[in-house]
Amino acid sequence: MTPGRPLSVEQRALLERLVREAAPRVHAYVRRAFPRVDPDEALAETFFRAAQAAPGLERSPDPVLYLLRTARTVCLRSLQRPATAEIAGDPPAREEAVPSADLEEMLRAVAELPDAQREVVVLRISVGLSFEQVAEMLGIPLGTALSRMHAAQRRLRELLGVKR
Amino acid sequence: MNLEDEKDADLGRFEPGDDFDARLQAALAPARLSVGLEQRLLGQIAAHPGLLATPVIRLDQYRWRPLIAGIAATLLLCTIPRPDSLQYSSDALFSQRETAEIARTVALLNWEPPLAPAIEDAARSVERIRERLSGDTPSENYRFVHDDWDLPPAADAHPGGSSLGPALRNTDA
Repeated sequence: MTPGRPLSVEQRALLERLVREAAPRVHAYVRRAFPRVDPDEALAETFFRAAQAAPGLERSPDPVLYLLRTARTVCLRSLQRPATAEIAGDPPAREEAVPSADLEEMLRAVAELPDAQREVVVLRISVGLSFEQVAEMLGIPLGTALSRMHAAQRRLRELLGVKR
Repeated sequence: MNLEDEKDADLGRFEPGDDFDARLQAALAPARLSVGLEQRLLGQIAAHPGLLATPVIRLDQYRWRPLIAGIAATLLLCTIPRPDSLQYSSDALFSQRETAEIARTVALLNWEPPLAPAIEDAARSVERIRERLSGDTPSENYRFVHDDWDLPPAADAHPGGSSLGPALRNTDA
């Protein structure tokens, strides 16, 4: 990896603002969409790359989407490496609120979704993207994003025994 | 919420259509970053400029070069009695601005034991830099850092040389 150029004051301010305002959503995306990837490491790698490519981030019309795309690349590359790779591996023990049994059951069901469906669900609900943004980010037609969401919701209801 | 609803109207923000959607949204709601992780990210950003381009501390074998470089730089500043003189040195290791950034970075960082091997490597490199620049014996601060992390004295550790050797040789050229 080649050294990055020094950050301008504006670029640094943008990155720091993204850490505070967007990083939780990127973290949630990695954590839920890529359960085999350590979200802390992936997030740190994402911001490291974003700092290296700060001019591109600065020019991006949607810096959050830029970060999400970077995080996706980081995760996919991590999963392509051997099991001993830097980012993939057993998630580290972390201190966090224990979800209720109900939410725990929901999260287990989400984890059982096919990868493509789960990613749409997470981007839509956890990250809060519009369907247009989901489609743009994943490079799929809008109709495909909608149908994946629909299929995922139907599957989740089946898994949890919920009727509409 | 169903597919038709989405097609008809709401392609924007997710709005739960029923209790199930609300539970799904609650389960997937993003949590705040831990303080440690947020500080780590801010520390990376603070450490980014200058340090990455500094020829002396090129820790290419580490993924977290900014972080490790910040630690190494701190060790360097602890080791040399007059860090301000660095910016006037022909070696020009760090500018005043970079020195301030290093201090800020290190203040943000959590020095955790898993980093000890990398810190040890950085410490050995810093010791060699220090010797090259000043020839002084390690300061109390330097020994404190070593004691604190149970690191071996730089001169005794790894007689074959640091893994940073090539980077250091480059700077000597």
